[in-house]
Amino acid sequence: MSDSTMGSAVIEGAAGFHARPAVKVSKLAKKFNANVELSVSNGERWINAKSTNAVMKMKATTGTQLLIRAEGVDADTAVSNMVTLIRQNFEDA
Amino acid sequence: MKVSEIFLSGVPASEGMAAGALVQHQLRRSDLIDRQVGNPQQEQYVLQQALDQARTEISKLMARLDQTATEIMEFQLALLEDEDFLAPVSTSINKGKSAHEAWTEMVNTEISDYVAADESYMVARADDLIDLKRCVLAAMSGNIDTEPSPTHSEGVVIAACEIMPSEFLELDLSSISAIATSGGSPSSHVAILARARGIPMLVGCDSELLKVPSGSAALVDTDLSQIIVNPQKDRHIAFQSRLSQHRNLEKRGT
Repeated sequence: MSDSTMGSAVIEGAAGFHARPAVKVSKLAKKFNANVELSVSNGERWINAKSTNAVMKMKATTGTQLLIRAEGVDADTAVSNMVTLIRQNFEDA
Repeated sequence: MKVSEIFLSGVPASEGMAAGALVQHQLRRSDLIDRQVGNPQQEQYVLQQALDQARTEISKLMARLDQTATEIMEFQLALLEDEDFLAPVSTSINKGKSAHEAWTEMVNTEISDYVAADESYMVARADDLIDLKRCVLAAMSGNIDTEPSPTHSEGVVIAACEIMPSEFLELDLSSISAIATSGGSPSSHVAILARARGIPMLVGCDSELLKVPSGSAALVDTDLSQIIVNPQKDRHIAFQSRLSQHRNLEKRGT
């Protein structure tokens, strides 16, 4: 992606990416115009953060480092909000 | 004629002890579908209508239930709003598949992926997908299920092969004392709901469970990971005694 914003966060809580976190992540990503993508494979494979199914299937377990990238008008906000959500262990602000 | 005691083992999914008449649960929705198929344009319309109906039904269910139930059903709702998830279905229809075949194939593929992931919480998502699959199929077949769930006079033990989240939420829980399934898992959404409601539940029970005639007396004891069907009098008395102790301990907050 050209001109993309990147961020990262480690998944902390015991939940890992269970159904609720996956729904929250994709709902948040959908709020932004930017394309938002996630990777648990250190950037090898990226999935669409707006797809609940794709996020759920990431198998992001506790301790996993998640990479986030976004491209578009509100990319910066998108990335920082996503990072915050993950660092707060998916508790809504 | 003396009716013999049957001991069935299971895996505790929601802790507790309960007694009641065992009732074989009838599946309210299934994978089967019988409908007229149209051309691709018509099938696309059927798909969109069915998805809309499913969204509405699930939203309604979420609106009248508590936090836990809402959180659980929101995964299904989120899938219905996931464009990447739904895209292959439309593509399939354009290639000539009927709406129900296209939908079933896509969801079954996803279910296989989740089951293959080999993590309990991933496998548990398969249940949500099966639930969602049936919900949309029912909408496609034009079945609008207005019949309320059967109510029972008092404290029955529901026996089933499996129970889907939406089915659980439609049960009249005030008349249910426990649930036992031959399939299922302790990390499923249904198990979470049963725990939230304080309804004892055993999963992965001996398949004999499904052959027990409805109306048979049953004792469910998750501490012992078992159900006793047609308990002898002594057994029943011992159970009631343990049940009282259990309740007293609960009251004292131990």
